[in-house]
Amino acid sequence: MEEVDKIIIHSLKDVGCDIDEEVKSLQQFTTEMVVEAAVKCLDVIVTPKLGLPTSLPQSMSARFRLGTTIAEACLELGYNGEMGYQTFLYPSEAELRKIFVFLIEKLPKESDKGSSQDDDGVLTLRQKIGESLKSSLARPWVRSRSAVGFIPFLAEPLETGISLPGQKRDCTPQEWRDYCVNELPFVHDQLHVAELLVPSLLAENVGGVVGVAPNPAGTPTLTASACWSQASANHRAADKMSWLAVREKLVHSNENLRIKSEPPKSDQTQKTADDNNADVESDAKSEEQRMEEERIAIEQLREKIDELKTLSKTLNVKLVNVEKETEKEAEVARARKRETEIRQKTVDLLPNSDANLAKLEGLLQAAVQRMLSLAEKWEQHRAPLIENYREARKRIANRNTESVRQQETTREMREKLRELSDQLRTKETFQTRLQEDIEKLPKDIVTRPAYTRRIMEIIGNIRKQKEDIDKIVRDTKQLQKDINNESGKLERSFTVADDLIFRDAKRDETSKNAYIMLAKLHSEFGELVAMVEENGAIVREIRDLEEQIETEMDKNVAANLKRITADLQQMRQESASLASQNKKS
Amino acid sequence: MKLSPKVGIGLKRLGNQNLISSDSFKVLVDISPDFILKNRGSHNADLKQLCTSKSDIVKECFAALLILLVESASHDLDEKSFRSVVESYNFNPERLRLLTDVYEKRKGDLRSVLFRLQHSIPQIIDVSWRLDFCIKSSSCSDSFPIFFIQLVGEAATDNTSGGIILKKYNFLCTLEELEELVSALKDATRHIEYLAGIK
Repeated sequence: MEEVDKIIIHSLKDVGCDIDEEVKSLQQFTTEMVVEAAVKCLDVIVTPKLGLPTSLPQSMSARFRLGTTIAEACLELGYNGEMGYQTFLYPSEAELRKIFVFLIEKLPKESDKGSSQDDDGVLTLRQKIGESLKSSLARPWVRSRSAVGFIPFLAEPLETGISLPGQKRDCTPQEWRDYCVNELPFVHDQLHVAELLVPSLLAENVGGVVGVAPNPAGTPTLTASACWSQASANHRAADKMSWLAVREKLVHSNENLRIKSEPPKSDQTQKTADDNNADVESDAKSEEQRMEEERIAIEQLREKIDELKTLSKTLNVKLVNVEKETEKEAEVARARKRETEIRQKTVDLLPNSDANLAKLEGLLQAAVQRMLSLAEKWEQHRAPLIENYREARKRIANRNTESVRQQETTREMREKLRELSDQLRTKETFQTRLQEDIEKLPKDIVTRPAYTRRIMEIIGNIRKQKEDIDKIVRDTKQLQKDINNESGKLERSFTVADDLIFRDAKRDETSKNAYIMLAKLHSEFGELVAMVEENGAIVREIRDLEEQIETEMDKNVAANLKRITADLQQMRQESASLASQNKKS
Repeated sequence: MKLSPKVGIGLKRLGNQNLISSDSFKVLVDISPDFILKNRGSHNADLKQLCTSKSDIVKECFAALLILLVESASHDLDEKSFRSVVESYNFNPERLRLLTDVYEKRKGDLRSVLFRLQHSIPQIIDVSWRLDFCIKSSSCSDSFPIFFIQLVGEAATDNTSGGIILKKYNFLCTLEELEELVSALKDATRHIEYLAGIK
């Protein structure tokens, strides 16, 4: 039985029971341990979980209820055998062994577990939420707010300055870059409330992951800041509110004034900075007036600037037009000059026309001749050059494909390297985990071959025993047959003797006596045999009873009875106190 | 843990030796946790010094680095998983080591800042009530009970003082309204229990 107990305890430890190293057999299990082990097994087997407490409750009646629920759960699982609260609350060793063997057989196998791992992120997230909720529900509630100040989860939009490929902004990339270089503040300086840096960073990342476009500057910032200043109860809030109001106005008026080509934000931030400084110093009313005036002035100035800009643009256009016209005129003049020169020459050659014509023709012939020879020469030079050129081009093309292929292979290799390193890492972690598991495993658990050897031995023993039993049964049968034979013989000899003596008895006195003696002898021997049989039956009965006594002794009824009476007493007390409470209220 | 593509670009630029020199990298990595922890001290000047050339890149990298640190700390990544996240952005071993060391050293502080992130909704900590019974009024003759209820909520003030203020919410309701309130509360509890997988 020791091996069985060892296996049971090992499996219970696997389920998550906290069992001391010293506990070696089920005999040493206390009621608490029994209940804990049973509940943990049921938690693993039964889905959804029953949610039973793993420790015994204080009140007696609750204990009985717990025992009853566990017993019902076991019966529902298909345990056939007697079971009730007493099984768990007043455990006896043999019954416990039976129950735990049953429960451990019902435990889900390793192979069943692996299948449900590949679900998407939402499910795991939900599981995580559930687990953390469960653990926080299990803890008693305490007023957790300590003296350390908290940060509300409010986010302000941030601008990292990074442009995704293909992302469009309402300005050219060059302008955006200039803006980033010169104007864009660092992320931590973009906030109106410095404490909101962390939530804003988180929100920025999540926004990017989900693919939500960042909010346009303006109103959202205001709401976040407004919430913040509502939350803050100190003096600074007052300043901030008026500052916010001013800002809001500014934003709205800016929307009307915004000029297309400028990056929108820089203008705004500068402005706010200026106005902010001014605002802090003086009080709100005059501030607003002055603001208004300044704004009007700025507006006027801006209009003027616009006018001037348009004027300069038109002037520029005109200038360009004029320049173009002058160029055209110069071109025409040059062409005319060339024409006049040619005409001058022909006029000079006209008086001696024939000779000049012949001379010209000769010149022409010579030129054609030269042209042909030059063309030939050119061909001669050209052919090898072209050959060279073609070859070089081919070479370059080859080299290009080569390099492209090499690039491809290096990229592949790099990819592979990363993959392999990832694999290596996961395998390493796996290995360390397995190593830990191995270290955690108890050393004293006998290994599988030992068990099989043991089982084979037991089977051999059983076979031997069976043979013995068969032999005994055969012997008994033989004996029975002998007895029957003997009794038959006895019967027959008795009848023969009886007949003989009976015949003689009518005449002979001694024979009569002998007959009487015979009859007496027969009946007395018959009685004796009956008594022997009875004796045998009684001995058997005695053995039965002894066995029964032993089993009852095993259940240690006396101790359990004592405990039950104590528990009953306690329950009575509890109910009495409850009744008195009831009466009072 | 997921990082947005923008942050990915920023991190890749941070790991690029041609864009960020190793000195600048070291300074950036060393000072960036201090910005999250709010003890920036003289670091603003350090940042300005870095901005002498390619200041747009420095700004982008700085933003991406802050987001990386905050996200990693919020997911409670250990050294190995942090390393594997960063490795995918082409960091060379030297930079990887620097960054991982800084993260490992400051993770506790970062998490303590993250723990302070809470909602500012007041928590109900107490309730008291009174039941009045209106036997007769000038407007109607029916008698009905009125419940006076006072919820006591506890809200933290802003982060600087760190104090706690108690707020009292008084209202009165009829029997039906009270039942509605109670059933709504029970619904909420049931929902929480459902989420926790208890039932």
